[in-house]
Amino acid sequence: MKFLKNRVGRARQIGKGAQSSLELAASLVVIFILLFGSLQVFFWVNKRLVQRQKDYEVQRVTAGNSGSEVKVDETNYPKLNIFGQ
Amino acid sequence: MKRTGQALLEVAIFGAIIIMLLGVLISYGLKYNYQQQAMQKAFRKTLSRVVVQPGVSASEVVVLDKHVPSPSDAFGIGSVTPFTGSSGSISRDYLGDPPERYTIAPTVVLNINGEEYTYTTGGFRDEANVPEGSLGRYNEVYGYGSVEDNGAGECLEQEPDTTDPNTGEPIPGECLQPTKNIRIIDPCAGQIIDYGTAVKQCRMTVDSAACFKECNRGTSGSCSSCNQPMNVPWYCETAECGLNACNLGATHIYNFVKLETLFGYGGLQALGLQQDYKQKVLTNNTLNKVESISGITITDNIDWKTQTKRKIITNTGSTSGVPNIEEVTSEVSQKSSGSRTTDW
Repeated sequence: MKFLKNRVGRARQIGKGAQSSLELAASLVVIFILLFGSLQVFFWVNKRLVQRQKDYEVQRVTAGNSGSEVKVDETNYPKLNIFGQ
Repeated sequence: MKRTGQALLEVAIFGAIIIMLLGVLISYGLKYNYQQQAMQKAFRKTLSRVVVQPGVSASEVVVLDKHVPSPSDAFGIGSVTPFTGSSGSISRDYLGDPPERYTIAPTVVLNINGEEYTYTTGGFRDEANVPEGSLGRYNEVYGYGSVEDNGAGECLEQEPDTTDPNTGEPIPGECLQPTKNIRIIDPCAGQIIDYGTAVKQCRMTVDSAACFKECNRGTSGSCSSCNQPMNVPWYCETAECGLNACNLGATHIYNFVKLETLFGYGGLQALGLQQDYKQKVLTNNTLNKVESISGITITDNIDWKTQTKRKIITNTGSTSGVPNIEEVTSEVSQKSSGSRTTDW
């Protein structure tokens, strides 16, 4: 009886360890996806800010000689894509 | 058994928090981007104006109502947020003609979602036959660069004409009190006036002691011209002395009746575009879920409209002092739908 009890207990221990590993793996995958998504948003925000400022300054001389408002063209600015390109 | 799925439960809880933070990051990102757009737009607008009219300053306030989604909202819709950018520009050729300061009044353009409203922030006041002794006080009150000499005015006191005893020809008497015609760039003669500037200007106009006090603060020259008389414009009318000089002392708190009407008692109301606004939000968003043998179909319908009402309060220039209140309405809306089907 003692022998049987030990075997069942060990099997339970092994099962628990496997489950924890699976949960950890799944959790890590989800965490990395979310982390990656956050980074994508961060890059998207900053790329647009930098690109707009760059274009704005490049057009400065043209704008200073034109009688109409010179707008920054934003059509090719990066789009928000959380899961990558 | 109690501990089973603890890690997944943690991911569910912290994942929700991280998704919310992701939403917050998006909304902050959009806000910074829209703010940058508003600032750049304002400067480009004024730049294009001063290129057309060199020597004339241009000011513009750009207001953009933009939709910023929010993770705290049930559908993530968020709200319509106003972004403001303002700029002032002047282009001047220092070797060319001087700026047309005395012919074109300074203006500000309020650009509200592309609609432009132009208002003057100053105007011209012509004063005829100002005694030369009083010119210094006008310069002190309105600023040395804001008073233009428009030629000689009438002589207020003249010596009697005499006759040359040798030739018998008449000799015109000398002018004892010559005058000047002047043109003033008056910051209180525009449609948008600053309360502090108006009160300071009026105090210096109606009270010699107040003029001395302000003059002594920053000038190295003589302030003796503050004793000279000057005309009191309509907006400086006091309850104490009407449209006359008062001289009740630099510490006296005057009741400028027209300014009180224009700004509300105690200057509580500013002129121009008001900071407070009213928003009316109409939302009709639906989420429809149909479960059938073929699968689950979810249909989202987004339908919302936000109406923003703003007020622009201006000085009409009428001597009653009653301001003009203009209401400006702008609308931002979204109407879209999406559907997706998932197999069992």
